[in-house]
Amino acid sequence: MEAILRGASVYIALWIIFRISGQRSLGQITTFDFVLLLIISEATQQALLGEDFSFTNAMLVIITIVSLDILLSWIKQRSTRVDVLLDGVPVLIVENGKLLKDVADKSRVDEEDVLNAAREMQGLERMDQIKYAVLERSGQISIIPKK
Amino acid sequence: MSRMSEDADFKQTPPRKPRTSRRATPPPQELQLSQDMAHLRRSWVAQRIGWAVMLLIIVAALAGAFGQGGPLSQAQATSDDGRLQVRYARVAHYIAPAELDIRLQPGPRATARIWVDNDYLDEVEITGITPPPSRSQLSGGRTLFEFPVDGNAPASVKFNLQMRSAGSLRGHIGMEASTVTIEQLVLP
Repeated sequence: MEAILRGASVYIALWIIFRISGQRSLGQITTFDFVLLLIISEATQQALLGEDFSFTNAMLVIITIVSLDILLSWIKQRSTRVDVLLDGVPVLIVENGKLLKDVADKSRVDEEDVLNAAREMQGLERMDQIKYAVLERSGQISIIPKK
Repeated sequence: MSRMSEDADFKQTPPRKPRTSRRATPPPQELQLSQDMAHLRRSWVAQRIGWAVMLLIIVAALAGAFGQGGPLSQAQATSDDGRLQVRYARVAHYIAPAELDIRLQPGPRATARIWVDNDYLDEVEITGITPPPSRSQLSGGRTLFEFPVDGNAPASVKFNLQMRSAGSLRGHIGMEASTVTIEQLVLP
């Protein structure tokens, strides 16, 4: 029983923390963010397993977390409101080469991030080649180039 | 178009999702995609069955069927004369802490001697005994633990264990003439 409670609590707690910290946290790929993810997984393991290192305990925790994931994705599929609440919405941050400053600041994205994504995804060189840039729910920036 | 950029509070909500058809249809002819529709339908059915099984496992675990607390996992064994009572977990986990909660009604002597059979002790590791016994003695196929006792009030001793082997375990615990048998299932 404890395995189920631990698994569910950690899943919910992590979801709340990542949702509060904004979309950008998951989309970044700097070395430090990678280290942060490793540290989080270490701390999580201790909370999930406690002192019980049996195979049964691990399986119960995994089944709980995967089932919660399936349940949430099923709910999201059926309700737009829950979908927005859980995953957020995509955000338009660049329009016709111009960075929408207030929206970008609130989303913790700057022009460098947009140019980075533009170079990686589309091979673009300058801001004025970008028609639209959208901060997706995953934290990635997607670029629509000017034709 | 420029109005959009000026209005920072412009709500960008996604459009309502259309209800997707439940029936799987094969892909159009011009798309080079080898799809085994029969297999696809079978795997969807198998997935849903799997989800139901996982839900059953979770409900069973919450009830205590896999140990770790819960109504199904706690058990109690009492000796025939009622002087010895052991509370233990019917289901335990391999390499996980477990506990034997022994309640006893002391006799006229100044010490209470609790014995545990060695077959059971071979399968577990005692990590602590609260309160610690004043002495322990090996006797036949058993190990005796002696605790000084003051007065006639019911007392309790706790054995903290770690399960060292998986499978079904049977243990015998006693105090003088009163004996108790415990049966545990240790999950891997």
